[in-house]
Amino acid sequence: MKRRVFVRGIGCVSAFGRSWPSTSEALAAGRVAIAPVEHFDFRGFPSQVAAAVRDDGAQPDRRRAMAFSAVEEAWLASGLSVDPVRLGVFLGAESGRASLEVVLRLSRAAGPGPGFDYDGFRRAALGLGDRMDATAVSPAAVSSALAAKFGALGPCETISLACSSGAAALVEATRAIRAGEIDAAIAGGVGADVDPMMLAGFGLLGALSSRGVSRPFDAHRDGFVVGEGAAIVVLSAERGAASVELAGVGRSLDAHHLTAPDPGGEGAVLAMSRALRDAGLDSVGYVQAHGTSTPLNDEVEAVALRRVFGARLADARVGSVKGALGHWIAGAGALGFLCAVHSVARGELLPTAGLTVPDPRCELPHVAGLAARASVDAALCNAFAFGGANSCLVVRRA
Amino acid sequence: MKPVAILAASALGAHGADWRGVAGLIRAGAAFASPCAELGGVVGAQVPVIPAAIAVEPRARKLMHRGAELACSAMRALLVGGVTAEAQDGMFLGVGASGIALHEVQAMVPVSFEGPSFSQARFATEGLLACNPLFAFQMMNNFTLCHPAIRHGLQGPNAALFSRGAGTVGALAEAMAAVNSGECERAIAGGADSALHPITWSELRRDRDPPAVPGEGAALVLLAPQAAGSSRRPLRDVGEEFTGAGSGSVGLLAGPGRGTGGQVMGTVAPGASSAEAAGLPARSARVPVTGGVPTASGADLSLGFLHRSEVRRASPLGVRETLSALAAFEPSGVVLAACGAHRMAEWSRSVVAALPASELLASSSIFGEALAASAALGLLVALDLLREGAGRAALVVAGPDGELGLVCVSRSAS
Repeated sequence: MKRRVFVRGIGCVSAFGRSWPSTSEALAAGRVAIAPVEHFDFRGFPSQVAAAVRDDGAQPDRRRAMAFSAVEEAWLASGLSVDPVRLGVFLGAESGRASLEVVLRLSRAAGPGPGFDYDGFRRAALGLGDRMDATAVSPAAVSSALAAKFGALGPCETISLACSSGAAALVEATRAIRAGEIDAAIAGGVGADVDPMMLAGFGLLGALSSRGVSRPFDAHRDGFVVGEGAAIVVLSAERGAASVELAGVGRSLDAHHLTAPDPGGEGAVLAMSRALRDAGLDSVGYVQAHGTSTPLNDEVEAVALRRVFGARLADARVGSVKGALGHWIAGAGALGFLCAVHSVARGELLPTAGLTVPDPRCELPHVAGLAARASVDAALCNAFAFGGANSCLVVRRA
Repeated sequence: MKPVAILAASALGAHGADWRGVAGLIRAGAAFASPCAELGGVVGAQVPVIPAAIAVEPRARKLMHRGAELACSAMRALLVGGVTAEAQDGMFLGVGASGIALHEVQAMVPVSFEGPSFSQARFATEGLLACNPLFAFQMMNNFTLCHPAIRHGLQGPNAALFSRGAGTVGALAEAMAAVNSGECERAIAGGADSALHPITWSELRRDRDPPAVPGEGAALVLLAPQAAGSSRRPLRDVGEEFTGAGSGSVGLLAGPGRGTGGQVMGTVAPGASSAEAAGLPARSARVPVTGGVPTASGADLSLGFLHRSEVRRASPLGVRETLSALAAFEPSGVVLAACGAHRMAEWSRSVVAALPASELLASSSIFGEALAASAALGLLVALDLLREGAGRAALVVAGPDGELGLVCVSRSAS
């Protein structure tokens, strides 16, 4: 028999605030955090808006600062006391960033023209060594620092699975608790991608909204908007006062395309079905969709949801947090998970901001405008990544 | 947790594209490093030309960073011997941060200047137009996993664990758990990465004192439930013959010693940061590897059994627990994949103290510091010890992020 995994505490840093209550209240009210980027000159970029977290800019690694804050909130809420050896850290994170200035200086060192001056580049790289601190740019730097700060001596994993990273980290934490390797885990994801190189990269792919609006499942959606933040939970085998448990996990690969989902949604169907089967359920009351606001992804996710639930989908409601807070990339799945937990714990179904004209091809029982109230026994959270890596999570009332 | 069977394995490293015989190469003091053009002549343990039988076609390679390319070739090598990839197979890899595609940035920069000053507006227009719109693919860490998964139609459970060392041990642990729990019937696990990227190398150089010898590579194993490994068949060679490093290799080794009684086989030479500085240690020599593209066979082939794969924090307690678990397993050979000479020395002493009668091999002596690939390549050195006749072998991984990995393999499931 599997050990049960309870959600003991939640923490969040978002463009709405530095706590989950401040974030969820804004989400419930249908507010949108997306705004013109102020801390960097994005004139001329394919997209000039984002849901950015305001900070003092003094932190060498913004990912770490956000994650620390979210973990402190979650840990305090958990009320846990656990043997450090039995506490693990599982975090979804991608690379931090060397500053644009460093990248530019390196690039110029490579010389003009088609040839690449490797020797010149090497010398420049050495000279800039103190600005390329691996402890500030390594994906693993955040989880490692969290483990040190919070005294976790159990397994410490960093999942770099693009948009699935945060959800996949929760999958790994669940597995470790179920297997008895640990008793509790700090798990979640962090994204800090309101950054020139990321906006350039995603802009080049044509993935960003040219209108600067995130409107998942809307007929006028035209791409996603980058957001950032940290979403963390403390999971435990000990129930305590927890009202929600992480009951099912499922993962799959599309095996289809680097950026486009399988048109039939096969990979998404597999991951959702596996998570539901793991939880012993065939229906849920709320779905926190991946819902990126990109034309193809939303349509395929809607197809996949209808394939998985069929007529039972009518009993559920569907929301996507990305309409309000943008796409957190490595943190996205973890943020979605908080919304799913919130639906079960509070009976408050967070809406899809920006959804005003539902796309008929994305026909789903949407929650739009303000949050809906309903008693929800179980909820599903989807996270689908570039490259076709899918992770799905099912929570239910404990 | 129950041991799982290792049905097939493949490796790409500085020595070439086979894993059989790598333990002997370490004992012999083999060295395969040579000056890397990409690093302005810095000596690195670079993978030689990949045999056509397992190479990625040039068109597909344009979308890949080096780690993904190596993973794809290792995947083809895993399958070329007759094992087939099944749609429901899981895939769990340790992956690195590949870094930005430098030639793309180089294309952006000259057109992004307005006179002597960089213009963000020009960067956002002319700059972006000057580079390959697909370059973003080369920046994504998870594509080390997704490229081979897409190419071989894998739809099973998966995870890409970032690793500068022991994360790959975590990937092996996840794969083992997925197989044991029935989440998938078989799982492909391992790691792929390259430190032969100017920015990565700069970071390594900054981190290490003395500086590291950068390396690259990929290694994969195919895992299945214990029962699948019940029979043992001879390995068979397939594919073309080739040799390891080309001419001009210089040594990485400070000198091999005997394998037991406290001496470490293969110690990374300090100061090997350039061809001139590295020099040629007196006892190092280039040893060509000849052999087949890595072997595999039918699904009932067993190379051994994976007993445990675990990562701890390198705290005093974690160190004690790891050494205790290592000693309890009683391996006759221990492979050490430690990042940096200091960790190497520290762990050499610790392992020798815990297991004075065991042979100790430093896998980075031929593979260099290959980051996420280091632990995977080290595992195959341990498998090679089983192939030579050892009953049990272990891998200890000491990573730069304060983590400690232990992997245990044996010839039998018990």
